[in-house]
Amino acid sequence: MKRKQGLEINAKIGLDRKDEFMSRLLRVESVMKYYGTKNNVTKAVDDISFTVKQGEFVGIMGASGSGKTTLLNLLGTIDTVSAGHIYLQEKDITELGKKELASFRRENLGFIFQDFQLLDTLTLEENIAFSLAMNHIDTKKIPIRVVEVAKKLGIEDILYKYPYEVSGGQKQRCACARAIITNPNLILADEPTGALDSKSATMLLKTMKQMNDQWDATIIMVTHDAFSASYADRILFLRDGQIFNEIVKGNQTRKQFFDQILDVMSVLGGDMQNVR
Amino acid sequence: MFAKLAMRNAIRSAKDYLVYVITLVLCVGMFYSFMAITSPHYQQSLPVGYDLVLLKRMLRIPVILITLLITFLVLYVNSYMLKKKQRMFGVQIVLGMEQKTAGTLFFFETALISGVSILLGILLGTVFMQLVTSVIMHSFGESYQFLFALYPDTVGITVCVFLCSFFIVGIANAIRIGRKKIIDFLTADKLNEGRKKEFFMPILTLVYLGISMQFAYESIQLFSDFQEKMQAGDLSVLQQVMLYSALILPVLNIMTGILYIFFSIKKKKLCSFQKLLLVYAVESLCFVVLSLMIAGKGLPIPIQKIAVYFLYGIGYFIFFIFAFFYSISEALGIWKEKSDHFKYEQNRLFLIGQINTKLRSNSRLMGILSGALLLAIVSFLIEPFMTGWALGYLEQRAAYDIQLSTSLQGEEQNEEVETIIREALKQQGYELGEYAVVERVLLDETAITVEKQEDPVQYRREINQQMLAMSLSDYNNIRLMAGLKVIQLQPGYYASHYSHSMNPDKIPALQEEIGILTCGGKQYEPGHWDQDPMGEALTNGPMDNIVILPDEAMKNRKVVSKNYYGKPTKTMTYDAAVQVELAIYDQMEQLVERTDDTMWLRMRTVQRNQGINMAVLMKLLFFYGGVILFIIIFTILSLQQLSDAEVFKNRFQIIMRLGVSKRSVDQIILSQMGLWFGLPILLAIIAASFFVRFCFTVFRDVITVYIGQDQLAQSVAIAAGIMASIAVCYFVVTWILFKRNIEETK
Repeated sequence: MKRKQGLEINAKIGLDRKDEFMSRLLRVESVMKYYGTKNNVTKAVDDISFTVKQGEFVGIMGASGSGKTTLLNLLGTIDTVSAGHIYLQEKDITELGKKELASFRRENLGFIFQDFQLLDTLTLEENIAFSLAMNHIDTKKIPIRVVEVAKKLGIEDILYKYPYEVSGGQKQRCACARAIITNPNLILADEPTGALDSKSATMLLKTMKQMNDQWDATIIMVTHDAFSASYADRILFLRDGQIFNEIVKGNQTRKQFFDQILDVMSVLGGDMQNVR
Repeated sequence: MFAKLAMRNAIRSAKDYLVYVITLVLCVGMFYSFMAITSPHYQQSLPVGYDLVLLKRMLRIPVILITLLITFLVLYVNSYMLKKKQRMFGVQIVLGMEQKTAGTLFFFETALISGVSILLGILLGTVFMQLVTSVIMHSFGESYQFLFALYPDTVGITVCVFLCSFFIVGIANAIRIGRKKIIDFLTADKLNEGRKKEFFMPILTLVYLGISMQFAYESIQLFSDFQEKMQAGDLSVLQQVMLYSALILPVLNIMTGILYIFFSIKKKKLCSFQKLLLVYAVESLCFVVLSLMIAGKGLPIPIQKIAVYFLYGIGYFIFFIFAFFYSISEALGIWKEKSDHFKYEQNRLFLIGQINTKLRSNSRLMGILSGALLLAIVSFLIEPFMTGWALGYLEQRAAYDIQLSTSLQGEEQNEEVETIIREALKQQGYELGEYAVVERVLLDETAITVEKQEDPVQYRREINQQMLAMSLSDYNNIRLMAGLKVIQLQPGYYASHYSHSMNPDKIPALQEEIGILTCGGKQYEPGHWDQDPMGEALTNGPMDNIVILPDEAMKNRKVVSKNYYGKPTKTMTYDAAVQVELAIYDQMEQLVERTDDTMWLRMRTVQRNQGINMAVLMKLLFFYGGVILFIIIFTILSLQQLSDAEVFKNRFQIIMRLGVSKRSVDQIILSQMGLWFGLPILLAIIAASFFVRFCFTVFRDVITVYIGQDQLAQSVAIAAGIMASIAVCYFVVTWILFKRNIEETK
């Protein structure tokens, strides 16, 4: 309701930045994650703080070992923080017990993985429906919702097939459908185009953009690929477990944003000075 | 370096080999305990007087069968370990190791584990052997003290047999590893399980249809046999239903096949074979029920027909098991499609997916395992019956040291027979102590239509159909020899002695049937009857009994047979008894040849020995054979689950990430294990209960006589307890290892 009102106001006053009227969904405060023993500590995530608004599409970039996947795992409650807090809709998820975490994940989060992580024993339809079944949705409504989402993602014709019978792009779209069907507060995507060819990757990114634009899905996507990142609204750059830089797309075209990303990445890879 | 690597691999993989090691240790132990019985060292350790020659001879074939079973198990487990390590081989080869070296490493790794298992198995075997010996000693009525002993020859044989199995299997594996492509090693775990193309089920289906046609032919004959009775209204509704069903079912069978072909032609491609099997599974189950109903005295048919229909029941059940496993995934698929509520309820979707995938690629194996499980359960259940039959009321039969039954009639041979017996005993250093002669006479002399001299064969045949009588004094003499109290006869009454094999519940009715006897002009009413242990030479005729009359009634009666009973002054050893038996036989054969008579001889020591040999063999075969089968079956079921740990791990990881709680994951694992172990067990138990019910119905009298229903029920309960214990142990170990595999990802 609030989102709708926000957009209407946008239209009224002619502003093209919807973020001014979006509420804060995610707040990360001084999160740290270390591994190892006393004498040999590795800081995978080192004092990171940021916020994500409802309806944002945020990209997290960095080289291998920068801590981006670790950060995503922390946000997704797959891993536990060593220090700091993570608030989703003002609820501190770092304080949740094991039992609460499972239901929290089910009800609030959607995941898209690089290697699809579909259940090979189920058809695409059943893979998508599984999320709803876990949430005890009325069994009569499940098939209807599955078909609805599948149509939006263009995979309704192959719902009866098994994952091994479809292409990588189709599998990833199935994973997207599974991620959004429960209307989660936050969708976490870990290198979603990593296992796809360029054509499939483009198709998937357009789909994710569509999910963000049309259905107001909040997406955090980890990627090392500038092209994929250019579809986001905002990029956080990580280096050695810390936020190195942040850029916002604003009114730029995707091409301009892509070029800006490349510039930052060249600094990331070369100049050691912080340009924040 | 490679030896170190093999040893390190073996140690690291120890937990993966756990089920294999436990199973192998148990099988080696069983094998050792079987073989130890055949060792001359074992013979020396037994008390004097008993010999296990018969047992040793009879154990040869079962030992070979068990060796084959164990080799199959070794082969299966090696395949499982090979599959598990494929990725590791791939990496090793990519890093530069030669393929044949990788194969050799695996060979040494499994050889090391197997070597340790054999050693532990032999040690366990010595314990099993003590248990087996205590069973044998208990059978002989002797006490026994446990004694740890290793027999070098048995150790040698055990080590040779198992090393040969491992060697053959190991070489085969090394060759397989050497020939496979590297890419296949690396991508092996990415392959999906699917139904492999095979001809087993189509061929089995054709056999099934062939059996149905034969069944149809038998049923038409059966129907025509009972048609008159049906028209006369002499058959119950159930019996009529059975007869009509026996005609309808085969027709239904054939119609199903015709429809399948028709629709396949119409669609221009083969219809789903699984759907056909689903229908045939239902039909074959109907056949099973019908066959067992007919065989279980549902219709008054002769014993040969009972056996035929029983075999039909078994045949159809074997088909049903395979058809069930081949078609169950199809049935689940149909149910899933029809009922969204069913499939989306809790975590059922995931569970069905898991089970379906596994069943699709292992249908034949599950069918074999179910059949083998049924065989194992039946082995357990019939063991007490077979042991009881083998012992065959040994104490009752072997009541006298020497029992000699002849068709001699005259007095003149009595002295000669006594001399033969005395001399035979004397040759072995024994003296004849107690001695008795019993004359058996005809009650109804007119019943014999031929003279002995005219047609000895017909004469003896007719005698065998007659109820005979003996005098009270003769009866009491041999009762005293058997350690029993004498009986008294009231005036005007007779007594009866029945064979041990008669059902005591039926004797009162037989007594009424015999009723009042007339002998020597006097009438005698039925009085005392017994089945006391008095050997097997007394009874005769269709009622397998003998009548005991007062001495005065026996005067001038026609003697048709004479029995001679002897007891030496001290117990004979087995060897001496065998020699005495041979000597008596030798002399008596010459005697009866002269007089154109017949004889048979029983020596208690020899009878006991043979009976106990047979009983122990039955116990070993059926009981221990059943245990080994159980162990093999549950090992395979266990490894089926554990072998795909990586794949399962991945799937469970996905659903945990999607938000399935640990509690739900534990429930899914338990349900999965339960279904995987439970399906074959359930099928086997249902089939076994049909089998037991059938046996109880058809062989009630024999069971009552040889074992007693209470004793049988007790044995069944013990067998069920052992089966349940083995099943639970394997289930728990598999469950724990499976959960650990899944939890390793966290």
